[in-house]
Amino acid sequence: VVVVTINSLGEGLHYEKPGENDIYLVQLCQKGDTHSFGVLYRRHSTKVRSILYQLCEPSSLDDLVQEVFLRAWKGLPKFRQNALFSTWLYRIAWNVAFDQRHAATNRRKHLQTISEKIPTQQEAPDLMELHYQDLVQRGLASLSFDHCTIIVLHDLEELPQKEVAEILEIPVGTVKSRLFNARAAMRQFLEKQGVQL
Amino acid sequence: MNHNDNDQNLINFIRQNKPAVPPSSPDLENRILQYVETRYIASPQNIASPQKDNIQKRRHIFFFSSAIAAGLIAAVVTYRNAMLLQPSAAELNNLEAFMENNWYGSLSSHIEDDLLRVTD
Repeated sequence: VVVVTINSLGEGLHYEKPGENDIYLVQLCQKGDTHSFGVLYRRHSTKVRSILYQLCEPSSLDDLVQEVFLRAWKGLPKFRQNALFSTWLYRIAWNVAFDQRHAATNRRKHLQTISEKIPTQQEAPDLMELHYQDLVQRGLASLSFDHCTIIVLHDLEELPQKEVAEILEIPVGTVKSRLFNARAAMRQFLEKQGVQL
Repeated sequence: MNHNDNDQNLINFIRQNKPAVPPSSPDLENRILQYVETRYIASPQNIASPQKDNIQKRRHIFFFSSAIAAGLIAAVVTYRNAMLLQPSAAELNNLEAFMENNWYGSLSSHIEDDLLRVTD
């Protein structure tokens, strides 16, 4: 019997044999089975990649994904079986994104004066789709890291509030209030850019 | 339009226009697994072993340093006690003088007692 699962984005098909759930694979990894780690990578890398892309600068995406999975491998001996592997992995992704964003902010301060001198290119008016994608990306970048995280995890990656709370280690009530404020800030940004919602 | 509709419109908009994630480089998975296999010596338990080694080393260091400290304290205490047991020359002279005085005092009082008894 082969169980076929599709992740919430519908981006990947996972062929899951009985006994190949995450917990079982994690146990094999803890015994040194790198093949099982490969299965976990293929199962979760798309979502991890997507989260990192929305939270960080896209220039070093492969390196960030690699960092997440190496941290996960190193942390596997300490992984508690009572938590979901995916929740734990997204927590690592969030930590990596936080570190990267912090470093990028410092770099940006140095580069700000240079970039101000470069004239911005005019966007082609017929590329509305790209324009809106760019707006969403800039909107996310304009938010605080906390607000950006909550929109990415809940509204874009469609994780339930309970799981978001576990990833960020905050109460569900805080997730709700943060989500309210983050959406308000995002809406304000988009409306300023002329988007009618 | 109520608050929920507003939220749903916003969510729909950002989902529809979610920036496309660039594909990963084809060798990324191999790179990660190779890294895991070579650099971390196959088992995450082996990764944890340096930490265990450190704990063992710390325990040994703690044990030996405690033993050295205890030895030093014991040596100092023993030395001080030994020094206190040996009285100085002045103390010996004082002690000798005290014993002589007491000896003669006790002897003379005994002689007087004896004489009194004889005369009675």
